[in-house]
Amino acid sequence: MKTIKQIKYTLSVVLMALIAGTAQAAQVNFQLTGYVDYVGPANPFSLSTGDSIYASGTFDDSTLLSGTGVIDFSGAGNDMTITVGSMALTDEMDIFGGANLSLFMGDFDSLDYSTGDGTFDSFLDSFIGDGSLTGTWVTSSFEVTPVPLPAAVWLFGMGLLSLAGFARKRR
Amino acid sequence: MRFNKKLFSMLWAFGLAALLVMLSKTAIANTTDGVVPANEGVCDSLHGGTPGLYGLCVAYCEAQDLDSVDKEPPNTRILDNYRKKMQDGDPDMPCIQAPCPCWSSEELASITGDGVVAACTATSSSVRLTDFAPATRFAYADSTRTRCAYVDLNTATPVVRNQSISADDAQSCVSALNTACSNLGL
Repeated sequence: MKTIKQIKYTLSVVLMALIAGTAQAAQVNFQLTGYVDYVGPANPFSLSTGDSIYASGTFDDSTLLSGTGVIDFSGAGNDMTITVGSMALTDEMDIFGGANLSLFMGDFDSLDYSTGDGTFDSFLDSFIGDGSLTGTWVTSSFEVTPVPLPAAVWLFGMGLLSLAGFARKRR
Repeated sequence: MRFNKKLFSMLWAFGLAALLVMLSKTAIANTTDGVVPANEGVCDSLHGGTPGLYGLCVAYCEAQDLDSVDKEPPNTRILDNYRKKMQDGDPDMPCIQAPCPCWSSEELASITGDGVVAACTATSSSVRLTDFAPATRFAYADSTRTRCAYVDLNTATPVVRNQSISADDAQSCVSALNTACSNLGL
């Protein structure tokens, strides 16, 4: 009887930890699109006026308050890549070691990114590259989707529940 | 005779008072650089901000009539004190703005020169002055990320500039944009 109680207690603790962990690690995928307003003759990105560029990646949104705040991509678990034509710029290539994405009420507000050498800069809703490219991020293009939990987590949870069921039946 | 003496002393006092008023007016009108009027509003943007900056700005810029961009600062102690008191986001001494590496003063003026109302977008450390008509034209500076940018898509050969700059230059660029925005009432 005492053993069954101990098993029940342990299972409850494990389940609660699992639920709490799931609630805290609110990882989300995001994508943002920008349009090129002008491309100069140098055109190192192989883009044309009207082409799109993309910022996409993953971040933990638990630091946001009502969808408002700044996501610091130098933080662990936050990753971003800006795809500018043939070039892929990662958040590690930012001169400050990580871009900053500002959100307001769940909407895109601004993206701060700089390679530091003039290759690519993003600020507010604008971007500019290599003295030959400029454009605007489209606020309405910002999309966030939850990162799906790995199947293993669900299997583990179901296993725990089954154990709990067996323990209850044996009692 | 007594009446004349009294009248004379009254006239003398009146004349002296009139002379004093005229002298004081002259002193007010003639600023140290001889240009009238001086730029009396150069420190206005600091009013109500970080304590002490407004007073130091007045002492440095207005009292010495340093309303020009390129003059040699005459009193570095006031300037040093000002820079010691500066906090994040505060502009450098408004009257000694160095030219911003990303744009000339003519280019900055051209953003607002077409009579179309421009927009100013500011964060704690950056400012962008934008004019969307007829085509995009903006100047941007960021004192934290120490960079500036200038874009003008209205010319036959569009201008696109972006570069990393020194902290002092970034502060000057931000100040120049803040002043331009302030002058537009934005």
